[in-house]
Formats: sequence, C-alpha cells, structure tokens
Amino acid sequence: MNSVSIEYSQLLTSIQKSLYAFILSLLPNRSEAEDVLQETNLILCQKAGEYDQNGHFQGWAFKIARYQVMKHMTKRKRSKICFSTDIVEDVAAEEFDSKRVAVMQKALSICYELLPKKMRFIAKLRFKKEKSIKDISKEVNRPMGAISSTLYRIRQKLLDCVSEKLVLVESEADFKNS
Amino acid sequence: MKTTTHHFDKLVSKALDSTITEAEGDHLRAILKEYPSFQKRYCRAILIESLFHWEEVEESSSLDTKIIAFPYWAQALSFAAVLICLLSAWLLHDSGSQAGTHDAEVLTANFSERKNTNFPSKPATIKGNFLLGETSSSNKVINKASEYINEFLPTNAINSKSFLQFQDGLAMMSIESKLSTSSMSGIMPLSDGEMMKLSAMEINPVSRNAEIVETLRVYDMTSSDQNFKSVDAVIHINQSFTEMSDATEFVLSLHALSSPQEDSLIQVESSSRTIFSDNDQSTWERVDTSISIPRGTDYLVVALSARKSGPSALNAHHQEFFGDELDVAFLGI
Repeated sequence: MNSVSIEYSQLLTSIQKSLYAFILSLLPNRSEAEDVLQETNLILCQKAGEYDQNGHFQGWAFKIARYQVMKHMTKRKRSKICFSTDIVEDVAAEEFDSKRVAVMQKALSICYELLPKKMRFIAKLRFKKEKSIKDISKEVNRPMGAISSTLYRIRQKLLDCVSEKLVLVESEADFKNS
Repeated sequence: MKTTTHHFDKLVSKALDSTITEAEGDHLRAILKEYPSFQKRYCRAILIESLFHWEEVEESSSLDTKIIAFPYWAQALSFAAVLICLLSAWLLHDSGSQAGTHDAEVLTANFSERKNTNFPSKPATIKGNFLLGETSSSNKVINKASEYINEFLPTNAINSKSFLQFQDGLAMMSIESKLSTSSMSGIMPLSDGEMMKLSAMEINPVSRNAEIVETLRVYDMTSSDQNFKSVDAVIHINQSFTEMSDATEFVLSLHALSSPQEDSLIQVESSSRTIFSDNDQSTWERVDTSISIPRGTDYLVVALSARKSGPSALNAHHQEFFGDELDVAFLGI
C-alpha cells in the first residue's frame, strides 16, 4: 500500500470539485465522469510519491485526469461525445480553479432558489436526485421532449443568472477579505 | 458558421443529458474549437452541472441509514479508491500503528448501532492490529483497543506507566491525558482547566464524509474479581465555531470485547448514543450511554467519535472537536 500524507490527502480533497468538473468538461456524461474521477483518485493516490511539492497540484491532477479520460475512451466506446483536451483545457484550468469554484457554488445556490417552482422541481429530480429524463417524464407525466426542453431552459437560466451573480458574490468575498 | 447562444446552450444541454446525436456532437466540437467565447460558457455550464453532483442527494433525515450513502455502485468504487488513500494517511498519522506487519482480516461493519441506545451489535472479530478493507467506527475502536491491550495494559509493560490507571479495582488504559488541552478556539473546559481535543478528522472526499474515532479508555475486566453487571458512561461534547453553521454528529459508545484466543478480539455487545452538537462554542452538550456487561467480557472499551457529512465534511480539518468530563461508572457489584 502506498503512503499518503495528511497534507496530500487534504490537497486531494480540496480539488475534488474542480477535478470532477474538469473530467465532465471532457466527457459530458455524469456516470462516466464519476467512473473516471474514481480512477483518477486512485492513480493520484498511487502517484503521491511522485508529486513535486513545489508544483501546481491542480495542474498535475488535471494532467492525470486527462490521461484517464483518454484511457477510458479507448476502453469504452459507448460515449456519444468526448472533447479533445486542447479545446477547453486552458479555459477549464482557469474556470475550475478551487477558489472560483467556491464563489460559483455560492452564486449557484442563489440562482437555484430564484428558479420558478416548477423548474426547481424538475431541476431537483434531474440534478440532485440524478433521475433520467425518462423517469422524470413518468413522474411529472409530461413527454420526454418537454422535459428535455425544460432542462435546457433551466440550464440557460442558471448559466445567465450565475454569470450575473458571480460579480456580486466575488466583490462580496473581496470585501470580506479586505 | 453563425452560432447563437441559444443553439449552443441547446447542444450543451443535449450533451449533458446524453441525448445528443453524433452530428450535433461534431457541431458542438466545431463551435468550441472556433469560438473561444463559447469555451468559457461551456466550462461554466459544466461547472454548474458538476456542482449539483456535490449537493446532498437526499435530505439527511435518516439517522438509521449507513454513514456513507452511495447513490449507486460507481460511487462505492470511488470510495474504495479514496479509502486506500485515507487509510494510508491515517496509518501514517497514527504513531502507534504498524501497518503491514500484521495479518489483516476484513471485518463486518455494523452501522446499525448508530442510532439510539443500548442494543447489541453483531459480533465482529479481529486478529492482530491492522485492519484492511473496512473502517467502520466499531472496527476502528476494536482495532485500536487491540493495539492498546498489546502495548499498554500488561501491568509490567514499560509503556504503561503514563497511560495505565486503576478504577474500581480495574486496570484501565486511558488516552485522555494524551488528548488533553487547555482552553482553545474560544472554548473553555467545562469545569477544571483541561478538556480533550479529538484528533483531526479523516476525510473521504468522494463520499463527503469525515470522521474521527477516539478510543478513550480500555478496561481490563479480568483484572478484578468483582462481578460488575453494567456500566454507564457520560461525556460532554463541543465543537469550534464554523461559518458553515452546521452541526457535528458525536457518538459515545461502549464495547464489550471478549478475547477467546491470545491474538483475537470479539465484540460481544455494544451500545452507543448519538448527539448533534450545536454551533455555539459556549455550550457543552451531554451524551450518555450504558451497557449490560455480558459474561465472558474481557475488555470494556469507551469510545467517542465525531462525524460530519455533506459538503462541510470536506472542510472538517479546519474545525476542532472537544470532549470533557468523561465519567464511567460500574454498577452491580
């Protein structure tokens, strides 16, 4: 068994959200992204001894995650879509920075509450309870196409709202830190 | 190629719902390659989607469920991956551990004892000091107790001087002095100038759980001829303030262990009581539990654990957890 220091496990803990987002950006399928996340965590534990403490941990972890995504894609060809890493990687490294993720989460919680009640219900079923479109369709007794459209509108609303609130939350955080 | 934000968002939404066609996938890929501004929007959409992943799947109402509630098997595997990491960290952190030098045996965990008080758990056995595979609270307690028994309880052991004490004629190993601290993090000890600070929690980032189990006392029930029938334990708990304003689950537990062979321990009975601490540093919460001591009990163990789950578990190492005024009373002489 490899030895992993407390500090290393804390680093690993701190980037879980970023890491999952990065994997999901390359492989936009939740369950497959979760598979890759677990594989990546395992490799990161195994390679703990190789980590240069002066290096950028997130960058190093992303590199390993990228390799795991590629490996996953070679192994399983069922994914409908996977992006080559060079398309979004630079932007992802910036957008998925741990501090930014924390701010984003705050903005998201505000925006989620602002969703109309019916949309919030569908959002809960899909995002929090991780139900399939088919299951949601049965539960709310609406066609699958309508659920897809609603989910698109929910995502769009959240995206626009978060972009708007992000500035507010960031300036609030800056004010607290100053 | 002219692309509107609506069209782009629709494609991203379809990709995330796995309803995207191959042609649409190619189109999305092309847009991302051609327009850097859409790359940013894409990353934000992904981040929003991924952040929901870390939200609670269900409102955490059920205390009687397992500590780690996996939505599905994939996360169980994910847990296993990180478990290796955390177990290693724990072994390193724990100065007394001797990883890899003992026989390992996977134990059956018994989470059902988490709720309420005073009902027996299924027997669990352990050989040696090292536990691999399962790290339930009970397992940790038994594992640690085994270590203490080997190292400290023999009265002639050199190490025993600072930890070995006697209560009601029973030899007892206590680590309370090791955990002892004066007031800190804005928390004052309950009565005298000392309280116990629990060690840092072990965090599982994937299942978003954090836990520390402290085996506070081990009584050698064979060291006295007196026939004790039951035992009561009381402790007070507190936690340092957290901006997340959430509670911590504290569990006081008693474990009756039997040692049919020299290197093995069997848990024959256990009881525990759970309490959720408030986020107020100035108040201490009281928790108690009791157990009937079954015949054949060789050791009695008192343990205190603190647990957090959900997003706040990831920051558990920034928080401190305390216990004070542990009182254990043996009855029925």
